[in-house]
Amino acid sequence: MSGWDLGVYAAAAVLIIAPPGIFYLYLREIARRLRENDWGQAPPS
Amino acid sequence: MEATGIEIHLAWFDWIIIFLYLAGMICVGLFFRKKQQSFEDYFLASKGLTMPLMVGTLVSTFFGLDTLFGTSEIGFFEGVTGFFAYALPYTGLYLLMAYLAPRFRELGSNTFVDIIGSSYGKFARAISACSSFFYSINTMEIMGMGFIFTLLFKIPFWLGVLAAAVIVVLYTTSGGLWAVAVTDMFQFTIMTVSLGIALLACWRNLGGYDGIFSGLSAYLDGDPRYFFSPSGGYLTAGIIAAYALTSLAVLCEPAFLHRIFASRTPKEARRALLISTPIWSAYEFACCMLGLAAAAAVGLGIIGKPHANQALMAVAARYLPPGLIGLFLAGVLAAAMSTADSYFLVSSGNLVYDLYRPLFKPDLSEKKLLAYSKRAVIISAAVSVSLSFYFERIMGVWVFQASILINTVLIPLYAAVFMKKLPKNRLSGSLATATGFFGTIAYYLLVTTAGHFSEEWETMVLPLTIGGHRVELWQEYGIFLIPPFVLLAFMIGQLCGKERRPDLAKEAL
Repeated sequence: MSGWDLGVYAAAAVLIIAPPGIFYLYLREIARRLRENDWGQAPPS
Repeated sequence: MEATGIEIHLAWFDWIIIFLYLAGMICVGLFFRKKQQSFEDYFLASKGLTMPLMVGTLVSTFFGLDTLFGTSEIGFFEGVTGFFAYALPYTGLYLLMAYLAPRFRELGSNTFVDIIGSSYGKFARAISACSSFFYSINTMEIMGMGFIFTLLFKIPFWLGVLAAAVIVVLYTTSGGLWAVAVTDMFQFTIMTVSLGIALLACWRNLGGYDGIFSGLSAYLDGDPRYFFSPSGGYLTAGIIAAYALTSLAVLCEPAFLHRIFASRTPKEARRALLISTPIWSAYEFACCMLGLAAAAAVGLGIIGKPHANQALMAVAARYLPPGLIGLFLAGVLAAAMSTADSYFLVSSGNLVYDLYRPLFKPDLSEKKLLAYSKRAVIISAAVSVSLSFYFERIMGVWVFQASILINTVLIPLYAAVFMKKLPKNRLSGSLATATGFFGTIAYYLLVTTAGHFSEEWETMVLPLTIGGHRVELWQEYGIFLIPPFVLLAFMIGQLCGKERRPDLAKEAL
């Protein structure tokens, strides 16, 4: 296995793993917004 | 843009995925239809975007078909230089922008044109808005969407373009940035995951590095090592610098700054940019390697020789199993739609919020501002659709659009935001933006009318003899020939301008 193979697998791993993780955080937030009907200005955290 | 050398066979569940995706986009737009009470709700999602939404909308917006097809096109012809010479400079700029973004957010402006207008007056505002509008005409995304629709539904290209534009306009006008951000989140996930799977499938099926090296040898009928050379074995420092300079567009990218202004807090903007950067880099790398893999697949006789900018589609369609092809095509559509919707929104803001209201109708009510902004989305889409029938080559258009934006906006904008102690005046901003905008257009007109098309470099070139030395001006060189004049114009304006406007940065503190 060459360095290029490793690079390709690393890039594929980032693309396949990271976005679903972000999407999970998004789903949690959107669920809260739907519950509270909060689509306006949110207070700074 | 014709589909050459691509064979796609869709199973019934591929169709379901594609239709669910398209229907979902429209439903999201309709859901948000009644959620906007003000222009800020519509245009900036009430300045309430949090980190996950920011990441989704930043990544998906900034990477459209110019990346997907453009980078893979370079990978197909030149190998990994598509990533190292053309894409890697962007990574550095993303990180720099993560450092700078909070400062923009702290100013509390709605658009970067606001900042320029507040610092330098109406003329600079108008020129900046025009350059932003011109940059935001996303012809390539419209062409790409039309291409996918044509491929899927076997309809004429013009009908594919229209159908795709109607869907994007529908959910963008209905739901504004909330709809765009929420749909971007789905589009972000689909386009990245599908590309990651396509990369794995193609790379493994072609036998990894060894198999691809053999394929490239057969493709070239010679030594393919330059495919794995970061400089491609031929790129000069000047060419690399010219392309690297286009990455400066990141610093004043309208959709990029739009998301930063819409973020909930400056901290959210920085976190989102830091998290987005490795995803962007992986995406560019994947596009480049899939282009390279396509060249190897042609060499091995696995696929027919495709049009270069369709190389990625051709190789992915060959190796992805049923089900995943639908996901991948939805991902390609997502890449195009997520970029198109954002630029429709931004350019409509340029027309109504940045140009029409301050210059012609300062007393425009909030209600009318909102209504006109929605109508302006349709105007922006109409301009993009019209122009999509005239452009052929992806990179050439992009470089011109990036040049005009960078040359017009970068120096006055960053002076306004970061040079707190420099008193601003109308003349400096007006001279700088006018020099950048008209200078860039004049330069491109000169090179394209007096020059010739170089078959070797695939760009317009104007040969000149200066002081006995023969030099060649490429159309791409405008991006580093014009800024020194812009800087000079700005400094002359600073020295000669008498009027002093209040420093926006100080006001915001």
